[in-house]
Amino acid sequence: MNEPSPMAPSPARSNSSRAFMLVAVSIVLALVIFAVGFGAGFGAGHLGQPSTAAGQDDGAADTLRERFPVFWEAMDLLYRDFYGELPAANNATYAAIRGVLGQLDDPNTSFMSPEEADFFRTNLQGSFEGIGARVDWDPNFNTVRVVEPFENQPAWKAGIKRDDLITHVDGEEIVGTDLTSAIEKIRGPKGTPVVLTIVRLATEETLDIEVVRDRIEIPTIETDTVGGNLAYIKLNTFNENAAELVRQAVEEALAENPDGLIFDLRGNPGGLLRQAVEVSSIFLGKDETVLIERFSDGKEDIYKTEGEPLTTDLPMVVLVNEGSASASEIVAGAVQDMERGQLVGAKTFGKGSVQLPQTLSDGSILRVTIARWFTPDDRTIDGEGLEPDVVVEITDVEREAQQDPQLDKAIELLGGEVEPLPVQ
Amino acid sequence: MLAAVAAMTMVVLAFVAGYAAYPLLHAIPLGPAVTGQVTQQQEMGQYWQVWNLLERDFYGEKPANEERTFGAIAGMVQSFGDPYTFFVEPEPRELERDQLAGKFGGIGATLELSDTGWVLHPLPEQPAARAGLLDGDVLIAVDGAPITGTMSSDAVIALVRGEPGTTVELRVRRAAPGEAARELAFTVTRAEIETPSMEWRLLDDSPQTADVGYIRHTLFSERSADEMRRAVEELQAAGAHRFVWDLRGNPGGLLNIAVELADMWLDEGIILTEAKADGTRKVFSATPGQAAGTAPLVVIVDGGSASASEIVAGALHDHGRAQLVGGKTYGKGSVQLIHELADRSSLHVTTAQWFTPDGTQISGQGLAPDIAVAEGDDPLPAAVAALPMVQEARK
Repeated sequence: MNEPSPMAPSPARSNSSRAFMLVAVSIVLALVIFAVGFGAGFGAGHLGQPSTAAGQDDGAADTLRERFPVFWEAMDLLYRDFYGELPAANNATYAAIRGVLGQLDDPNTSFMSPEEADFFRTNLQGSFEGIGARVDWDPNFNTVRVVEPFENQPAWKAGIKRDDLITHVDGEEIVGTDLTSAIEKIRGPKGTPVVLTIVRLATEETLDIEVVRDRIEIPTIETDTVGGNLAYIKLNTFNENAAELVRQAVEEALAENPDGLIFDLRGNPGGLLRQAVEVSSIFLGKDETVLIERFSDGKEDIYKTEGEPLTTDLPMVVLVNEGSASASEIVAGAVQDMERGQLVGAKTFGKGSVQLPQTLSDGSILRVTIARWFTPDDRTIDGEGLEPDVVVEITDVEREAQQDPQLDKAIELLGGEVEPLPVQ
Repeated sequence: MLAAVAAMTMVVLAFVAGYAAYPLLHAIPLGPAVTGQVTQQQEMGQYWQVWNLLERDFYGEKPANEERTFGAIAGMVQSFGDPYTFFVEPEPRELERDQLAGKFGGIGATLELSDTGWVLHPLPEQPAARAGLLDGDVLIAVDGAPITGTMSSDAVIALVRGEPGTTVELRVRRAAPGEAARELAFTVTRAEIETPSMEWRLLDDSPQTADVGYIRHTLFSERSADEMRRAVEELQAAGAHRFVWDLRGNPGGLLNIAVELADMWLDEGIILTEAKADGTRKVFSATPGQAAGTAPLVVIVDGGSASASEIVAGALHDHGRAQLVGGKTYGKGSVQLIHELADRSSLHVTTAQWFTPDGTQISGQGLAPDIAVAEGDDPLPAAVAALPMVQEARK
């Protein structure tokens, strides 16, 4: 931009200046922290397959030895000769399992020991206090990586950025541990401070950042009017109320006769597949394909829109970014392929696979990628992500100045007015 | 004394950076099953469940069984939580075996990765050069197996190396200046390529030090003992009465070689004591006779001197045979056995801790030098200064 005056922030970008009509507020549970690996897995629920642990061990050690001789050779030698404390037998087993999974080239196929599984079960329920960031385990650096600091939540406010690697929590190193124990250390009661040591690869900085934990409440949906007469709907997660809330919000927006609709899926990690199909059904025509799901055995399920759409012609832009994953990518992919609207923002996360959790005989859980999602035009989502029709990145400077060029571009594309910045 | 151990499994004071292996001529005779193994096999049932679930349901490319096994072993070994206990896949293992042997069957060329692929640099008078390969030839196939720039150097080298006397067919792409690139094929007979672990010279650039023999020692390989004997003989013949043994950056190597080398400079006494997991102790002692009699000796060490280097330095220091000059040593006081597994991969297992003659355990501590030299300063002048003058009786 060459204009001497800086671009204006739009009404929706500053918490203090915008008055949200919160259609509903719900506490986002595990999605806040685990999501990518875990939240998207909710999609598996629709399968209705029993979570049986197939392949029960036949218990015949001879068979194991025959099919796996070098492994046993190594294990015998270790147990015979090793100087030092021997690992608990099940830990060696779990490590072997993780070693095999590491060869799969699929970060979403994962394993949880019984203790980790317990932790997830307990912590996926009830209220949640923490730093308000979605994190994942980065296998390359063997530590926690920030996937998405949620806007206006403690981590975001403290200056933690996407892709920051967390190496220490209150001075204690977490590199080489595991996601569960790291998260246990990061989380804590509201109001308590935690010092995170961050390695920021982009700038090669190491920083100690203090974050004051808070109760993390993220509304499922946020609505607003922007750019004059454009409806703005932001969906933060695909929980079980998501489609109903979006339907309600669109109905209310349509009553105002807007010139266009901005559907914001930025930072939305996904959730329930069923909800993604129902949300798509609000905007797409009847009986249109929303996604194709393919299984390892070649079986294919085609999901189509259901029920009556609310609007199939109101001009629409879907905002996406690196944090838009899974169910978000299904909706965005369908909108893009059906040419229902343009995608604006940054390339999406690329999580388009389904994991089926299986409980093993000792209570540990294996989550196996059993299927992959493809858009109506048969584009693969997993590992690829969706390229927006109009790519708009947000620089750190813009982020800190609370500017939102992605939203501005959406407003511009829909013919709305981008408000000038008040003279300072 | 060591022969029995060495014949069964090479004992290696493993390398700091964690590389591999030594050849076993025979399969390892396994000891009786220890208690706990039965439990272990039952626990492995979950592993088996996972394996079957992946077979049945996994969407995506499944790695070959061999790769899965490697992953499982590497993961399992990691759970022992010891950086020196690790698994080495067959290809890198072969190279490490060559390194510890101090020789290998090869073509006498170095490899370098460039934009165009793996580029050969033949060494003069060696098989590759004699067969007509030229500097800059790009390797495109070895015995019919295509070579690409995406392959690891280990993988390429493993294909090129083989028994001395055998042949290997290399296809290369050669681009002479101003000409289109041509593909050429060469048959090269592999020869024994030696990789010395020691170099030595007289410090005769100054008359005051002209009787000092300097021995630079980089790895405790199989050939080190012979090299040390030759070094001492040649240096003495050239007039050396005093010696400097430089172990800087020497990460260690074979335990029996460390003992043999220390023995060459000691007349009697303990070299090291090894404590095993089962509580047994084994003492390694010097035998009478020294390679260079009572000739003064100084050992140079630094933070890169580890393992076998520390055994030698610790023994010579504790017996007052040599002063240590330089920086504090690395501090690796454990012994690994390297087992070759059935598929030619190998497993390094920490089996013992060792102690210097005075009972010092050096794990995580390192040995402090008698005469410290600041990092970055040349320790050689201090080392020479620490050597007493020797009256030359022969003159």
